[in-house]
Amino acid sequence: MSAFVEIARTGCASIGRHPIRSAVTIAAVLSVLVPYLVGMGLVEGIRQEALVAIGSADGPGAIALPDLYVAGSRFGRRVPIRLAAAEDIARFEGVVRVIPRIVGRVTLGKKDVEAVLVGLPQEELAEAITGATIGKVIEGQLPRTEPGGAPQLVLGSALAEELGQQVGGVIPPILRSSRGEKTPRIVGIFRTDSSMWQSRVVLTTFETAAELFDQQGLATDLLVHCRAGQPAEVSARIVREVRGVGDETGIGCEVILRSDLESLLPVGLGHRAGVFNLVFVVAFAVAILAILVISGFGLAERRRTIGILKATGWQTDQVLLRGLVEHLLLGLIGATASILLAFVWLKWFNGFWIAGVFVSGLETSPGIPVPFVLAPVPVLLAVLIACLLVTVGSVFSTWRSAVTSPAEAMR
Amino acid sequence: MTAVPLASSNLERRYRAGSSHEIVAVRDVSLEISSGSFVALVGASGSGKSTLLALLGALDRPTSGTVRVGDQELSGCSDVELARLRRRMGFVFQSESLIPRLPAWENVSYPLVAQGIGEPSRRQLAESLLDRIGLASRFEALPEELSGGEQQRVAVARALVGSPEVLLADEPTSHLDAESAERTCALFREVHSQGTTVVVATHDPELVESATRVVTLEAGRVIDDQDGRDDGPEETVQDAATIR
Ligand SMILES: Nc1ncnc2c1ncn2[C@@H]1O[C@H](COP(=O)(O)OP(=O)(O)OP(=O)(O)O)[C@@H](O)[C@H]1O
Ligand SMILES: [Mg+2]
Repeated sequence: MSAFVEIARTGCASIGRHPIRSAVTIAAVLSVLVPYLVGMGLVEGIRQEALVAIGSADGPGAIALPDLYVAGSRFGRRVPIRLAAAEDIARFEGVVRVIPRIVGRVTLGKKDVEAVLVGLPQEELAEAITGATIGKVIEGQLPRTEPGGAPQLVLGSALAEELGQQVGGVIPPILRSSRGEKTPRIVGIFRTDSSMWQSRVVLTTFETAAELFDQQGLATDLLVHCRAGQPAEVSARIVREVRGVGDETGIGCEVILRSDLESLLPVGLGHRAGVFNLVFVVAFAVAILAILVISGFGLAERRRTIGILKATGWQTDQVLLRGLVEHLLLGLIGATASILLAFVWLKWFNGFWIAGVFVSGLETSPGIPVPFVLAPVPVLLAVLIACLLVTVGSVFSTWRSAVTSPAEAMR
Repeated sequence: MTAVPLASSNLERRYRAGSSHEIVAVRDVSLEISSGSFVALVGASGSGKSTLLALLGALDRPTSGTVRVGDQELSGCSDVELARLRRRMGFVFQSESLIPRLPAWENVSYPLVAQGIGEPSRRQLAESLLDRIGLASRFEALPEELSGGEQQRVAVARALVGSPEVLLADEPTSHLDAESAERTCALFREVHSQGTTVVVATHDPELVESATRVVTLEAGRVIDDQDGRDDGPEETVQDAATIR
């Protein structure tokens, strides 16, 4: 027992005795684990945020989210829906509220910055903006529809910064409608704590959005709130009875249930995580090779040392224990450093580069705070991987040297 | 202290040199080394001294023949038994054999780690041994900071740290100046006088002078074996194989 302790102690000491060898090994662990942890942190962060966005997560600020998302359907594709369909649906049994929404892409400013413009009825904006989905207005006020006046917009803070805009500023015409150019005015700026998508959002009233896109009488989709237990029934009836598109062309509605979204969500992200895992396995294999090469550098020395240990009365298992302690400890140090570095990377460097590689649509240096959660499972896995990586890379060669005769190992 | 006797019979060790060529480094060596003797292995360079010493010290496996340490035959020993035997023998290697990056005192006392001896006792033991070989001042020195001769003396101290019953040394004075060589010789004589069996491969006349028995090798064979030098007249036994 005391031999075990003494041997373990020398194994630990060996790390400090070979600073370069140890540093290179830890660097190899870092190069594998930091991207892994950052990627996994992002997956979990996005997943949790998406859950909040579709209303599955509860907590302060969670608001009632629609049960159904209704859009038109043509040739099996989701297309805008007739605004009048909202009135039809509102009369259905079990429907509490129907909110039309416009979601569209716009390019803003001289730099052609892309953003998502969301138009909601004026009375819904207040609730949307105080709820978890959007955030809080930090400056200015909510947009209103003023007939004849300039279109009023509220910008996400990151977007405002990128455009160099402030409350009261004007944006060069973003769309030219048949009724002439529109020069919108910024009436407010909102900030979100966590949402990566919504800070790129431009918020306005439904009417303004319709005007800006010059699409009267249409909504991108209808958000339908139902009484508890009714969504499925209402959904079926909408598909059966509501004309979604055109006056003459058939029925054509497509309904997405929030419960379906929820069940899809983890799968979708799981798939992405799966792709990421695949990439990671490749990186893992490369790292093992790298570590084999690294330990190859010190192999002659290690082999001699093991020969000497055996010649002076160390047992094979004792030699192995010494190597195992050294490498497990290196693995733990590497894992700890990786976790810290991944956290710093996500928190202070905002997932620089890695987030861009991992999340499509993000730039190398994301302009908005990326959501991340370092969940216990990937973190534990990282520790396991680090230990495995380092020991696999070295135990074999240690064992090989330990079972040859000392005279041969020392040659 | 009672030392164990060492014995070999029909020992042979071949090395593969190239694809077809073989070198017989040790051939048909049968020796019995009684406990408490001081044996000098002499012979020209390449005559097989180091190879024989490694075989006797359980550091190498013979191609054929057997080695016995006490009543144990090496070929039948498990890993643990071999380790135990090696702890009862101290070995001084011909070439540099210190563990790099370990200070002198740790090199000396490293064999004791596997026996579960704590650092304070190890330090103490190393200190007294380094003092005995005149290297007390180089206690913390790394092998690369030591001269060849100093390294050799540290290796001698390491061989003695476990109070071995048998001390096997391969040219322990080859890199030493006259004074250090004399000191090492004296140490060997002292160890021998305390009952330790000493087997030393050497060209050093003084070490040979200290020995009670001189075995001469040529091309891997024992060609001369002078025993009982302590008691005056030297007798020569031409064929080592007849000594049983
Ligand atoms: N690992 C090896 N591979 C091949 N041949 C070897 C090996 N080790 C030793 N030999 C050969 O075996 C023979 C005996 O070598 P050994 O080292 O035992 O001689 P030695 O008597 O100790 O010589 P020296 O006085 O120079 O140390 C030599 O011819 C040597 O070339
Ligand atoms: Mg030799």
